[in-house]
Amino acid sequence: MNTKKSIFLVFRLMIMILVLSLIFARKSAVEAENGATPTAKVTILNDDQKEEIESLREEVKKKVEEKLKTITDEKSEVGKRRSWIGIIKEKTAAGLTLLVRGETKQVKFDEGIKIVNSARKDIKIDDLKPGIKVIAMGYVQEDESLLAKRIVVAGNLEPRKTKVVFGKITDKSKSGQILVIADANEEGKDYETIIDDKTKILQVVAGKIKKAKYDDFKIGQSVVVVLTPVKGQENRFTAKNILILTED
Amino acid sequence: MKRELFLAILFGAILGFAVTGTVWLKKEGKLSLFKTSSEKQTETAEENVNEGTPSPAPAEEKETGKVFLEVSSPEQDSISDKEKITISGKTLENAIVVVVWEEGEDILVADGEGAFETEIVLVSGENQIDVTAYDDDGSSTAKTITVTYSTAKI
Repeated sequence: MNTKKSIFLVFRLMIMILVLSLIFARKSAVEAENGATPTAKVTILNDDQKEEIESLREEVKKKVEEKLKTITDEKSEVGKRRSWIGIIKEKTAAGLTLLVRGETKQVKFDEGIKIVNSARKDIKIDDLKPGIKVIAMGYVQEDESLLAKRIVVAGNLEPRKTKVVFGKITDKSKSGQILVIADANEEGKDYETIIDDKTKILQVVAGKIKKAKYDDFKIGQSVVVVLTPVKGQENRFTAKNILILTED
Repeated sequence: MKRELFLAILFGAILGFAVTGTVWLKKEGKLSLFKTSSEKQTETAEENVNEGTPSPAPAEEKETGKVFLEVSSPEQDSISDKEKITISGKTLENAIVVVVWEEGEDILVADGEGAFETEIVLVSGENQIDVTAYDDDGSSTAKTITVTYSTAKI
């Protein structure tokens, strides 16, 4: 009887300890996942406190709206002083339709508009004809048109002759200051490049740009170069500015 | 009776130590008896990697080879009443930036945060400013900004 009672007692104790340990272990795991257990706090507010909270809420709302408006205004073109350069597509008594970078834009004449030709001599609205390139200067309106205060008849810009090349030096002349640069972005395209006295030679050293000289050029170096074509020599270029990217 | 009581306490203590030991090992991360949901997610992700399941590449890696370029000043179609203006913007850190304008050009290296800046001289009227940013491999992005230099009152 005593033995049975003892076994039962041992068994009961073991079960109790096991259950308690499992509860403790599970609780620890849940706490580890959720962090500290939040303590619920109930605060009863009086009318003054409620009003204060409401006024703070309104103030925050107002400030957020103001900030959003500032951001929107900064991005918006409305009211900004702009110059639209384009070809006249159409002309009416009220304004012009301009073709600006392939996009059609409306220009309205301001009452006090001043129109000048390329020699900066005054001309009349009637002198503006479709096909003429103009610079319309004024302010962007809410309807996205430009209220022009001044229109200048512009000449066509000469096509830019300079060419920027990212490439590698594949050959270096020993007799003269000539490099052959292979374009990294156009396979098989080489540039015979003259380095003259006016060429600005630079090299990246420890992340900074330093002055360099012709002797610093080595075959295999990566370079970025601004080239201008040599008159009458199709495949020869003069380097205006060259930066050696490869650090020694 | 005393002997049985002693045995009961001894077995109970052993069992208790076993359970508390398990909890301690779990907390130390050496045993996963009760896994938290975040641990389960991490483990699933690790499993996916091990099994070769495609997972999103880190943001830094996504940027590799792509050159972004922002020219903050001057603004497109702006009018300047000053002959000298500053070209500034942002690109990849340490990217090479080439600025070509009507009567000059400059090659710059963006700083560690990708910022770049240079001063240029405008010609009267229309000015086209070409800005090109290159990464180490020669990949590039270019932008052209049009600015009018005019001292007329508008």
